[in-house]
Amino acid sequence: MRAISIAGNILLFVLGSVVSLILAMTIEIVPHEGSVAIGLFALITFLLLLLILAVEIIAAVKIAESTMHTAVVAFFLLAYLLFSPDAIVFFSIVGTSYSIVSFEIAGNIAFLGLMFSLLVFFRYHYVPKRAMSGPTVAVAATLFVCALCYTVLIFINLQLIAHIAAIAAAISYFCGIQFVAYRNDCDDPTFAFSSAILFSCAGLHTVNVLCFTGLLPSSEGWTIAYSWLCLVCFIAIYVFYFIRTSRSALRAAEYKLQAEELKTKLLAEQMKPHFIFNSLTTVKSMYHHDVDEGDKAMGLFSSYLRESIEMLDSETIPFEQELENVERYVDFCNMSLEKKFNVIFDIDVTDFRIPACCVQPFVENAIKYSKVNELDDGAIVISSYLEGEDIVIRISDNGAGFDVSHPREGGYGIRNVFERFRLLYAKEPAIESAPGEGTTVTMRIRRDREEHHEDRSG
Amino acid sequence: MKIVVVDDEIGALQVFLSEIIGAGDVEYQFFRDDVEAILNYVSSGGVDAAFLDIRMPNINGVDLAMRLLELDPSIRFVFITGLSLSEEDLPEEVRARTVGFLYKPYEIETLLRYLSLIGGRRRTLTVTMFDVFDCFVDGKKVKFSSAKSKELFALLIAYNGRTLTMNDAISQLWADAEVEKSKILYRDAVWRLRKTLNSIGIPCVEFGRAELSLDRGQIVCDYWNYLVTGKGNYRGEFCKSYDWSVNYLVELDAIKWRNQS
Repeated sequence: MRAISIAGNILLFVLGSVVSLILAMTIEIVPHEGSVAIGLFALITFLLLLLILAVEIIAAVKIAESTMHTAVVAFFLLAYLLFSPDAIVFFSIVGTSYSIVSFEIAGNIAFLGLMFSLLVFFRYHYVPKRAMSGPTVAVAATLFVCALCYTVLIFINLQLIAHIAAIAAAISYFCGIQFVAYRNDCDDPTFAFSSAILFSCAGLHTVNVLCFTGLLPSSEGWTIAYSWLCLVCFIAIYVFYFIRTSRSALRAAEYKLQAEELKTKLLAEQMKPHFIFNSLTTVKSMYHHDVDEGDKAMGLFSSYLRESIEMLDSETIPFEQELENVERYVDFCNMSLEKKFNVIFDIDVTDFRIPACCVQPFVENAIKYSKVNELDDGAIVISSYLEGEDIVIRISDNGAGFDVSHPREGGYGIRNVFERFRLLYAKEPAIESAPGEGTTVTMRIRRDREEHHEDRSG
Repeated sequence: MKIVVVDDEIGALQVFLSEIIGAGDVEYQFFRDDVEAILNYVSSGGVDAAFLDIRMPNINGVDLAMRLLELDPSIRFVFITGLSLSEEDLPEEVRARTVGFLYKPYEIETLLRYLSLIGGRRRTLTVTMFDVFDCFVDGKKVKFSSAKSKELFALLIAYNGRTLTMNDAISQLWADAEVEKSKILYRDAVWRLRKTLNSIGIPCVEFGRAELSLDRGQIVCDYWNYLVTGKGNYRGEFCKSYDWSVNYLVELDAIKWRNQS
């Protein structure tokens, strides 16, 4: 995709600039009046682009994610074509009097405005905020200087030099953006078509400048050809944008459904009668032993129930909250045990969110199977730390371990965590274990990704 | 301090009563959901806070709060609820005056903590280091989540305002363990200490990157007092049972000598 769009852009530019330059130097074209057809075509193109401009403005106002960038681009494109040699043909047919020089100046300004707004569009949409903040100012300055040069040099027919300088600046900036876009992997049809507009206008302007300096008698419908190309590009951009938004809307709806389903299933699992009645029995026995202990057990158990229900409300919860839930769960389990489980919180980073109940099932498993409470130095360690761009959450124990190739039966809670992780982060937790060597579960989430999945459904 | 408690269930009111009877210094009035009576009582003035159940047959707790605010804009609220109601579910005006939530079945400590918040009593942590290290809030001994987190806190207090770095803490608390393991245990102790301090409502420690520092404003400590005034219960024992405490005995003995002579 990238290769094709680059090749296409180069071709467009070459066609416009180089070929017309060659034509101007070599072939003697006989000047002629210019046909009505071309003029009419120019008018139709103009009206269509006016329509696009109207659509862009409405979109920018109505749709939240749209910006005025594309409307500004459409505006400058329109202005540019209005002051092109082919339009001059149209005006001459219609009989309006005009000054060629003012036309040329207006056309140059429109061209520079077009280049600038396109480059701003690219910079805004495809380059992450952190990178490349300097060049925008440099390019703006360069283009402004070019505008001055254009105007001054008109009177000595040396606009071509200014034009070449402007093109050089715009294209080198564009190449810089291409490079950054490549690094950040944001190549898409919209990018390709938008850059097609940039390059075709650059090529077209070479033709126009040659016309204005008299090296080419007329742009012979090149304007029409290129402006129809721009039209097609605009339409293609709309089409692809539409496809992309409807596809992502569909995906969002699907995702929501799946997430709900998984949460409900997990809740059912948390509320298993077996666990509930066992827990109530623990509470009762605590009360018989000591009222304060009973209150404590009651508090722990009801917190557990409350968290489980709350899980249905939100996509993710703060990591600290999940850890507190885990601690309460372990305290509660320990109440009825003689040899207690020791949990170590090796926590280095906490300011992020995580799906509710994704650490707890692993700790529950460790309590059920690892038998670390019988070891002298046995412990369940929950760690969280930063590793490059990722946050790593690890649950490990130095207990019994198991053969990973033969996963244990049951344990829906863990399967559920896997599915929810896959859904939310397109990744799965990794489990390493061997009999007699303990178990380690590792989960990784990207630091910026986790912010996008905060959600309150219902 | 004057409070009203509103709950349509008599059982809940009785539980509440049994818990605050010991709190002292609280004048309370109970209501079931008789809106007229409640509004009359509050409009006669002087009520500091209203403890409101959310789900009642006659009126919703939040709606009742709005009406009480009209009568007395300075009143504070504590909402009692079975489910997990949170701040976002409250209207702005009520949220601004809400002290907190009591989730049924709530713990009496939480209730007492809210009462002291409403009473405007600034909570201080009373620390004793002579003989054994212990902390008290509102007269009750603080229960620490683990022995090492308690020891870490003791060390930080002994540092008397200096910043305690991770390396210092490790060399004094986990001298025998190997480095990586001791860092893990340090982080565990820090985590547990943070949770404990949050649960008693005394956020006096600033948890920096691999270092801890203390906000002394909320703490009253017999050791600090002794250093400054020479008055205290020092009888030769300081933070008994912690190995590192021997480092401090020299200075303490010197002060004791000075005062005796």
